[in-house]
Amino acid sequence: MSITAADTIAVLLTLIVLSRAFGDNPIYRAVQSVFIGTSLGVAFVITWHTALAPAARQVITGAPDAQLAYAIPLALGLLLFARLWPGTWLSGLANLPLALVFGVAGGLAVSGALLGSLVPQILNLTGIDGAGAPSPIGYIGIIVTVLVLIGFSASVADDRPAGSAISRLGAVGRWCMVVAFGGLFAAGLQSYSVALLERVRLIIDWLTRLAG
Amino acid sequence: MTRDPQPADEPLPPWLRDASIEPDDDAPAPDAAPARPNSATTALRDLIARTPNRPAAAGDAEVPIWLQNLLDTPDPAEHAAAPPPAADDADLATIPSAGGDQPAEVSAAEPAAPGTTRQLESRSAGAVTDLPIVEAGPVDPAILASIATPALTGGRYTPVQIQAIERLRAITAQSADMAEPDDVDVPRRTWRITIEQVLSALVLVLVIAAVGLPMLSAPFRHTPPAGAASSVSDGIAALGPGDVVLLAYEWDARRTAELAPIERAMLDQLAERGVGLVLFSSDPQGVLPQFAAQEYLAASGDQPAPPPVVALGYRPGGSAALALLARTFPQLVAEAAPDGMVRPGSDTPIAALGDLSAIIVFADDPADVQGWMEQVYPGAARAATPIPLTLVVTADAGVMAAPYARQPGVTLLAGPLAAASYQAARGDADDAQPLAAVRLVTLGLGVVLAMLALTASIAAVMRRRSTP
Repeated sequence: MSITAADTIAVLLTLIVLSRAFGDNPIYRAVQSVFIGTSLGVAFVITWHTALAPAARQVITGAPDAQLAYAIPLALGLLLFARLWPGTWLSGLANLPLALVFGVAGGLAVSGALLGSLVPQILNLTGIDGAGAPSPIGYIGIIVTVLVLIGFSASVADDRPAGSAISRLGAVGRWCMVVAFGGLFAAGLQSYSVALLERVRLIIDWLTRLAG
Repeated sequence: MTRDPQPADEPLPPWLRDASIEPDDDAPAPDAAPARPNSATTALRDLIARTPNRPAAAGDAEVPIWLQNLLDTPDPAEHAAAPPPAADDADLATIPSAGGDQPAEVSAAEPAAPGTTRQLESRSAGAVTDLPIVEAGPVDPAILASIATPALTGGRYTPVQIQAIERLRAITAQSADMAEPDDVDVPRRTWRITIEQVLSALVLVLVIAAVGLPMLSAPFRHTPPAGAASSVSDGIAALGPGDVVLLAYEWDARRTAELAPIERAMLDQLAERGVGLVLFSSDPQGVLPQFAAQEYLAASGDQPAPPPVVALGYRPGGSAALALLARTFPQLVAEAAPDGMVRPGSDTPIAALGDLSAIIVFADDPADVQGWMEQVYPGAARAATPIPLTLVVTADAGVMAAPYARQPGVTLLAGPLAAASYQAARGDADDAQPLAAVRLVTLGLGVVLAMLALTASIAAVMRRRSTP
């Protein structure tokens, strides 16, 4: 298999990025800027082609109902530019789309977290939903969750017996968090070691092909 | 208090204007010499001349810049009155000194070397006149005692002036102390190997060995347990040409090494079954893997025909986009494929989300998993025939996504182990080397981290013991 220019560029960029392990250097920073710029450029192009341009086309050449459907979000989006004149009555117009965005996002997040995450998981862990028998692990999970929440309580006085007990339970909860973070770190380590292995494999393959 | 520098010929504040040094009665004053104008600059310069360790001459390298300016600048009084050198001698004889015991070099101090021009610039005058004004009031007796001289006892300085002069003298001494000696070693830029660099080199060597020397990872080359991957593979194997599967691309190209192998294996199996595919992404970076998947399916020549694919592309809005997808899935498909996506082997178009046979989400972020489980899964689970949902995630996202896997109809495949399991379940795990290398490197990194933790613990204990 022959060596392509793309392979060579990929290998060179990989080596430059790996050189960061031995200290910061200008070439690494330049390549980092290239990656960031490329990523942002790709995101913009994709957003334009898949979201903005089709909407603009619908507003201009679409059917009347489609024009209306896209013109309202467009008008709301244009209202955001009213923030360019702070301190004037125009600036207040931007509150309308912002309120809409935050309201919708908040509503989706709260209802989604309750109905999609919290309640189903509790019901499932405890076996209340009837989908399965309650497992000891489920109850342990609930207990650990409560302990971690207690670990964040900072308004309990330690000079009382109840406060002292809550503080000790909170300490247990914080240790549970430490264990959880350790697990997250280990999983991240495995994840990124896979990426590193793939890059090193790319370099070795390139060298092998270069050597013929 | 900050004031603009004043030109030398402008009137000085009274407390500085009065800080003149008049010739002593006993000093020989030439008759021809005119009376020398009073000058605070002269007083300061004379003070400097009496200061121990004062610079030998203007231009000395040890002289601070501000002091050098003062030494280099001329006295306006000299320019104005042009007194003969004898007048300076007379002044020197009457200048007050610090303390009664004058060092020999102070008493023998001479004015600036002959030929040294003493030109006063407005900058120097400004530096002097910018000194803070001290309000008249009780003077510390210690200060008075420290600078009491016969000249002072003659009543030529007010207490406030004495305090100001003492302050100037302290500033002069402090500046001399702060002057940086020439023989200070300038730290040279040296190349030092840090523990971080050593560890990085170790890890790199380990990775290269794991990839380049397969015999090192041979002990780790065993078939992973099938687990959930087997059920997913069986589920896809049960699909046929009349089915449609929604593939969600919520990962970016950085995670190609971890997610691409299992994604390609699933695409192969779906193409083999002739299943219709709908591609979707709520992450702009997920569109690139989407394009790559389309190219891969189009280029897979071993299939009789590429499966019908409808790419919905990127939909902005995050959770809102997912909620919209769950509610208006048929409309979105109709927009993306104006001809309507007819399911292979069936003339019925997709009329609802419930018409899907399966949903597979490729994600590298727990938030993406959360969004799908909160916005799409409830609708999929409530369908007449519940839609199985498979979460294919990276190892780091798998920890946070694990609780969702307990929900009915949800399967989680996380990390390289799950990818290898899926490939093994399909029977194409002939080369287990990549997974073995991952295991070896993970073990090596764990050993390095454990050694680091042990070293840090020992160092902390030793430090604690050495601290009284």
